[in-house]
Amino acid sequence: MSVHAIEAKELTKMFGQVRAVDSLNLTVDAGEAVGFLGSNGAGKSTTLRLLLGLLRPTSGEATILAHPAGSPLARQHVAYVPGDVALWPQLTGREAIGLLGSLHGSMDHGYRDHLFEQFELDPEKRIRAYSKGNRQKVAIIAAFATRADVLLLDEPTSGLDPLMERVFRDCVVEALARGQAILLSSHMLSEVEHLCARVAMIRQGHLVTIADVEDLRSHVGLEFDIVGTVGDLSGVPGVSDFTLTSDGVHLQLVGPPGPLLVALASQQVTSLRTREASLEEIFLSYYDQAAPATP
Amino acid sequence: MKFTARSTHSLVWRQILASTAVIALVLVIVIRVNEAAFYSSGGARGLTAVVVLLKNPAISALYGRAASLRTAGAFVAWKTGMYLALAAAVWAALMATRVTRGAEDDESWDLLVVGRRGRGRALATVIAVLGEGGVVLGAVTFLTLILKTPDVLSCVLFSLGITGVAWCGAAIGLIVSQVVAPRRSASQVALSAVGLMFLVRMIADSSNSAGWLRWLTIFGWLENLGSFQHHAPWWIAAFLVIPVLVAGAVWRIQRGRDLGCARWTRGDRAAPRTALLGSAWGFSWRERRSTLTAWSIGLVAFGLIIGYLTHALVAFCRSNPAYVRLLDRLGFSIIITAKGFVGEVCFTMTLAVSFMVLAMLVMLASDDQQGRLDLPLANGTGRLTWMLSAVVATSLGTLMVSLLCGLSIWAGVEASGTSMKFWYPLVGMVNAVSTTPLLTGVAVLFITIVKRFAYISLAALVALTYLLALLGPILHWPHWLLLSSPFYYLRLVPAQSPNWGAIVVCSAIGLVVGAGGFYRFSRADLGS
Repeated sequence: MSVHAIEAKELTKMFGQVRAVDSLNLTVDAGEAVGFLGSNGAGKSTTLRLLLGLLRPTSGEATILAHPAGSPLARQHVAYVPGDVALWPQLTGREAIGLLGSLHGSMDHGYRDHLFEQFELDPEKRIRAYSKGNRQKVAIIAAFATRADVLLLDEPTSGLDPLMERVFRDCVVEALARGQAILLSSHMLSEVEHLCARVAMIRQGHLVTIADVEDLRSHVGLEFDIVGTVGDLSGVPGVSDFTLTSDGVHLQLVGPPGPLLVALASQQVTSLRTREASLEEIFLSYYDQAAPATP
Repeated sequence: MKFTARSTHSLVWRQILASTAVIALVLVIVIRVNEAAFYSSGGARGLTAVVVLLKNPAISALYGRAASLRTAGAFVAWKTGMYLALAAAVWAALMATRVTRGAEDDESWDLLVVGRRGRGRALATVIAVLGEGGVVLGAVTFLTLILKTPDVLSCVLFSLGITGVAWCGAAIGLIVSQVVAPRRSASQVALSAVGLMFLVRMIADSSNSAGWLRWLTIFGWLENLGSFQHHAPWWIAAFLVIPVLVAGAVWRIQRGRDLGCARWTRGDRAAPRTALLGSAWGFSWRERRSTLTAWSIGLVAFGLIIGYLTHALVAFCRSNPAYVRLLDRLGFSIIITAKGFVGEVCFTMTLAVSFMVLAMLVMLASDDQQGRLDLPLANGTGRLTWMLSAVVATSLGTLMVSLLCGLSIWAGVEASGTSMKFWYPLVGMVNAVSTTPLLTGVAVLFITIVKRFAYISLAALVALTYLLALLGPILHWPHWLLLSSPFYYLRLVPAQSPNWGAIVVCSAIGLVVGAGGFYRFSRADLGS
């Protein structure tokens, strides 16, 4: 039986009476990147901190390569990038990265120097003199240069400019090619869409869904914008959200397109445009479905 | 606009409220306990022999100058005035660095000043709140003193002195915060400045020829006020003018610098110094090195000065049999020998060393609070290793400082013309820090329970238990109460033999309590 790089089983965390994470089940395998999506306060950071062993679970368990989260063996395999990097202000970037590398026990110095160049970070500057984005780069370089088997990334690109975001994406792609496992919590859905084959969505501590992005797309369906004289297609199997527009109709199709194409064959269609749902639309769709009914 | 001003005002007050309450409580307790000591010693008549002692340079250096001890208030002002003023100045300096440099470091100041208030008004509010804090301490002092000493003018002058010293302490903290960053460095510089002023006052009071030095220190100004003595209220002007001038300077400096940056900072770039970055053990030492250095300098200077006064005090005691009888009655006759005096000095230094131990251990709590432990603890280091490295660095540092203090006391004693074996003060200091294992154990447990007010709460606990051991026996407090203070078990080594049994028991208790702290830390949620 293969060992998951990251595994959470019925992971639950209570803060007093507040259930921050509720019976969460999640796996990430080697060479895989899983996007972790959710609104503010949904429980993303809490889950990551549980996986790091910084928080203790109320119940359930979390493992890193089959070792209990937070245990010495688990820590050897993990590197972490927080969304808000706090380090000792008097240290320079190089000193901070050196310290974190020493504590981790491994550091690819050549790759670290390469990342200094790629991220255009001046490593001789003190932490206190860095902007938020540059402090974020320090944590990213420290995490990737350890070549850890498991990377837990919590809003890693917050504060980075678009050019640096691209460098970050290259790092993730390279890490995946090396077989590293990545759990990427982010509000930047385009970033997740670009890097992750699977996404997990969490809402108020509950895992709403975890699936391949393509599967999620197929659930949400295709958007159709049809120009021409088109009759009522709302009865066609798989069609939903049918609305008339000034020059035609707009509809959403879930499932095989055959019945719709047959129905369109008898209509006067001038042009037809289809579009796959973006991850943002998928996210909003799932979040809306999971939202509690308002009275 | 008024609402915004009120909100900022309350916000700043909320940051200093808890520590103000603790300092005020300490003031009340110290004053009341010393008043009780005055009456239990027979009041003014009972202390007739002590009055002769007031002219002794060693006693003046320790407690400040005084001509008479006619009332309980006069006794309190002489015996504790300098130390209460020191506490007020330290409190004010630390609060000033916290609400200005600390707020800039954590960027909360950014939110405060971008609105309609602006930097100038926000700074004015901070200055006003610190001023009010000083007034609160003065008012508490006055109300406590006046209950037993109905000498209104003297009580007013002494209380105004406490307020003035607090204002000056705040002024020091404010100006240092403008020029030094980050907050930890600013606090160290401000405390060093306050400590230096205290030492200058000690030197000024140790000989007539150095009396002019009193003009250079806020503690000298407090003496010059002459509360309960000659009444020189015009010295209040110094306490008003200097803070106002400093506030003006602070205003000008903050207008000419970028928010979040100090005026004089070490360069933003530095060549990497990788020494002590290879492990948690090395880093814990590196993190505490500057705190240790600052405390070492202060305590070594104090040891030198106080050691130098040994000869004068011992010679005086020997030539005043009445005083020796009084000391005997109070249980202090041991200090009429050089070894006894050194033992007493070492006992006094226990308090300062305890505060140093707390300052170094509490870094663990502040690192956790600020989220600095997330990356090191996620990146491989175990929690217990991290905590143990902090404890080991603190313990080694404490031992080192205690040995340095012992050497400085010995050097001072030798310089005064009294011959003493060099290891006497060394063993005295090692004995004095034998409370450290217990203190460390309690602190380790405490900071896993209370992070935010860890230092102030632990410091108050140390101060009160020390006071208990110092004054409890004189005031005939219940034996069980005295037994609750670890300082009560300390002997005056080298004049007496160490209390080995108590040292072993206290250390064992420290070990057990500390193990509880380690357990809690290993199970706790970090950063919350």
